[in-house]
Amino acid sequence: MTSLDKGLTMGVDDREQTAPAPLLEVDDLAIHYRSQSRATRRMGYAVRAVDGVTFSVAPGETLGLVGESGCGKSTIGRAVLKLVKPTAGAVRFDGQDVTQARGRALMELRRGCQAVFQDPYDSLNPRMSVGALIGEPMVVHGLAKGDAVRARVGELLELVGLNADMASRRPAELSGGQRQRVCIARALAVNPRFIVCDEAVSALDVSVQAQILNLLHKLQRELGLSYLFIGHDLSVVRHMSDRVAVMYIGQLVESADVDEIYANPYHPYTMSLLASSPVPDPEVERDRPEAAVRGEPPSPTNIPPGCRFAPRCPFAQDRCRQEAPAYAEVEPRRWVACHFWREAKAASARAVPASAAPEPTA
Amino acid sequence: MSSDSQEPLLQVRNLRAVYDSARGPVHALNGVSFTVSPGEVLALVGESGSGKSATALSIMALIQRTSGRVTGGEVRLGGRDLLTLDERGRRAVRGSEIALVFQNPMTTLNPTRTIGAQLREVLRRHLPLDRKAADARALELLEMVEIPDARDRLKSYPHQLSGGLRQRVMIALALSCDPKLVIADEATTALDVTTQAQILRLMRRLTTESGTAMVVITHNMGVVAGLADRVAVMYAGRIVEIGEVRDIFRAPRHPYTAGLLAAIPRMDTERSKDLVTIEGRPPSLLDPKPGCPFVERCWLAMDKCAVQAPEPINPQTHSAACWADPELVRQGPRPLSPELTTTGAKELS
Amino acid sequence: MATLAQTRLTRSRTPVRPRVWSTVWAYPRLTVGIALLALLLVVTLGAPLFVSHGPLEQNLSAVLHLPFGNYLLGTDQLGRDVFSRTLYGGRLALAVAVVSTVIALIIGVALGLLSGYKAGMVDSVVMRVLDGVIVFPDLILALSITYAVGPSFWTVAAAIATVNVPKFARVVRGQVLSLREREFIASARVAGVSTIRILLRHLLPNVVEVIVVQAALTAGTAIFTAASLSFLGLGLPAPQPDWGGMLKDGYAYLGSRPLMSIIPGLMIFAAMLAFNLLGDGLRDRFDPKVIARTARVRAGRREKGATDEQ
Repeated sequence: MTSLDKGLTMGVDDREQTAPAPLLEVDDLAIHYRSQSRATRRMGYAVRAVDGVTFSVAPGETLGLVGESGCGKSTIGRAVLKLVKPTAGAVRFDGQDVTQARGRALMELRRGCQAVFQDPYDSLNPRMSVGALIGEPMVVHGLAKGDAVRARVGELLELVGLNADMASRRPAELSGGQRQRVCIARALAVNPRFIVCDEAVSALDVSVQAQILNLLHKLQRELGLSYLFIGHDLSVVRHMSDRVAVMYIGQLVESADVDEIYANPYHPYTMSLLASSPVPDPEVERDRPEAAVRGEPPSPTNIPPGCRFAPRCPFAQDRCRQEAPAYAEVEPRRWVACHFWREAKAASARAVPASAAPEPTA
Repeated sequence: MSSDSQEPLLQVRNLRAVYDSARGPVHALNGVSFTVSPGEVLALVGESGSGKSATALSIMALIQRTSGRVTGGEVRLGGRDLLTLDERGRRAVRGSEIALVFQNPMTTLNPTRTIGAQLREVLRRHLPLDRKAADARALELLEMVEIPDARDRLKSYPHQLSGGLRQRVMIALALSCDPKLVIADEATTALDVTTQAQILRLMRRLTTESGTAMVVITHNMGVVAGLADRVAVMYAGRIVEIGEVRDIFRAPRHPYTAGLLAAIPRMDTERSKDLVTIEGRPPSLLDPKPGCPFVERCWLAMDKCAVQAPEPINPQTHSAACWADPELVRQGPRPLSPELTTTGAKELS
Repeated sequence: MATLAQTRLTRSRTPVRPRVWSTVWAYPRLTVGIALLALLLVVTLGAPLFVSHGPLEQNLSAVLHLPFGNYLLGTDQLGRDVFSRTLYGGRLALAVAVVSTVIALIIGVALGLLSGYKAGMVDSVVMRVLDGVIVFPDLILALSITYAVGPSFWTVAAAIATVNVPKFARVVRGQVLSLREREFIASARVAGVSTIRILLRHLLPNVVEVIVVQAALTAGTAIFTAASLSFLGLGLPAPQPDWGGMLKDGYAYLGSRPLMSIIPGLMIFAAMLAFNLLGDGLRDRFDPKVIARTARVRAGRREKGATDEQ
């Protein structure tokens, strides 16, 4: 209810005229871990899992966060959920500082911001029934009691496309898709406005994945949810997102509206990601040009100086190896961290990757 | 490819296998037949539990090391039935004639020995090479799989290599004895997209150059599109459709294939808000029912489908195990009838 | 829903008895352990039914009586019935084992849950303290405690519990360290579940197996430690019959009255064996690899049964 009041006061705010106030703001977020091994720790090495990341998510919007494994995208999700403590920077949900939230403020945050994790076989306590799992958030937040919990659990199960009588089952009796639906129902139990989907469909089979993606769309339409959709599959992220941010070893390299970034990437890394993603079409695949990217991402314990992508980048020059580019808004709603994005953009316009060009549909 | 002009290299006929579980035998393979010609790349695609990996394990006679066993059928490699060989015979075939590339190289590579030592060992076990010749061949292999600084890498331990390099080493190991057939079981699934693209390109180049036949097991239709000459689509322990890669993608004949293709979000088509889905889930393999295994999820299901199993596929051509009119399948998936959709969406088990 | 009802039906139709038997065959150690433990419980708790002399009853006219006749296993140096003392001594031995194990379990599990989940400072402090306990050999530590406080049932139980607290704490902590990285714990935190509830509702039920196994093994060693304390004269105070004390008494007459030592020795051995078999058997029972193998054995037998019927 407090959040509703806040929404009303926001309405009076003069920012209303320009753009809706973001629901989630992540500002210069950094998360460094101490190295696991004692030897390297003494040398002062830290794993810079996330290093200066800034983005925001508007109400009702889906921001896709893509990157390869180990790039830190899940760590960002965990910081938003206050599961890890940031080294520096701020996370604000609905104007409230997440990192400092404690006690009642934290519980309020938990009601507003929920999560669906990657592995449906791992994210449900095997010793609890489906009903207990979905009911638990309501109980701990004092939202319902006794029969009301049971009734609401039934409603939620129906909402996510399961039978209400599934409440008595154990997770082990369910398929992967059913489990992921239970995870979604559990996340919805506290009526959140925002859900972090951390690789939420990556572990699912294609046909089940499609069902869950459709369900997430449906819930967004019906409940006005916002998503932070973290993933590594570019086509899935494209399908779900309004805007997309691309991450490479702890930093954002580019973000833009979804159709913009897929059709016309400015950052060389985004280009190579797009050019490397397999497309389920033999004609496209057989004619695919040699992707420009070489090698593999370096380990986050051993980050190259200057631009982190420079060692693999076809556009890299001496400057890139010395000076890290700033992540800046080079055009309205388009942020890029590259010294030579103009050159890269021009090159990509000349040879649009086949996979990224939207085919005119008849 | 030259699939029809030559005698098939691998011939799998009516293969059946079960896994034992606490709830009884799981019928993982229910009459799987296909052929692979020399130099051909056949992709086995399907979702988890469809029998892709059980097929690979049965061919390699490795399924009995899990809780499974082959209960029928034959697997002929160059005229010999691999299933009737004794363990010594099988071991001779594995590695020298058939090689495997798994999803996770770390479980296959010995963490305590250098890459060079492991390559050398495999080479000398199967080929009459002295130490020096084996060393030279090992270096050659690493260069062939495009590992930079190959000479130094021979002295590396597996954990010192990145995931992509490890998978390259696995490919080098697999190709070390010039096998006739390589089985790649989700070989690029654990890799990142940019690395995966490089490994796929490598696999494509090597099979073309060496003429090695390959069975690629994957759930990723993008990988299939890029790598395969022919595709076999598996569902509930059966091959429901087989054919040339272009035919499968352009004109699928089985409703499951059509549904699978429609369920994949794609980057090269218009972004639509909802995907066409196959509602429900695969049938239990604990007690297979008569009729088509896909009947409960099929939008073209007829009365006949529930009682009578369709004709099995003909491995030689583009064919599907389906009673429906191919023309209707080609028109693409439709939602099930309204009443069926609700039950389907609720995933009755 | 029809299918759901069907599943339930088939499940309830599964014959129960053959399953029990196949469990017996599949887990022989568990079966033998339970049987042996049950036998020990029956003879010790039902001791009055079996004995003709009280365990404290002295008959100075029948000191060091030979076996058979009036006294099945003879008498000791004070003319007390060895058979009777053996059975009654078992009561005490088992009581010490159970009580000390329960105390160690409660404290150890609580510490293990907390230090595994909280990590950081809490973990360091708890684990260092427990390391301090663990560096002493079990017996030396228990001896020092009973020596310092003075021997009684509760001192002995508390001393043995102290020795075993770190064992519970360590196995539980080890499990919790891996469980806390699981997504369901992250999911519980995101749901707003409090730490205490995470410990009790989400972590504890997932470590029950290791706790149960550890408890059985601990009870076995507790029997031995209690007997050792008594043998060294720092156990349960005389004249209470207990195996360690009997062993000590019999030691002086080892040449002439070997049964005075052999019988309590055998009982200590049997009790330890029972608890160890129980612990190992339970570990098998919970081990997914063994469960899978059992399933295969069962499947094989079913198939064989089916062909036999034909």
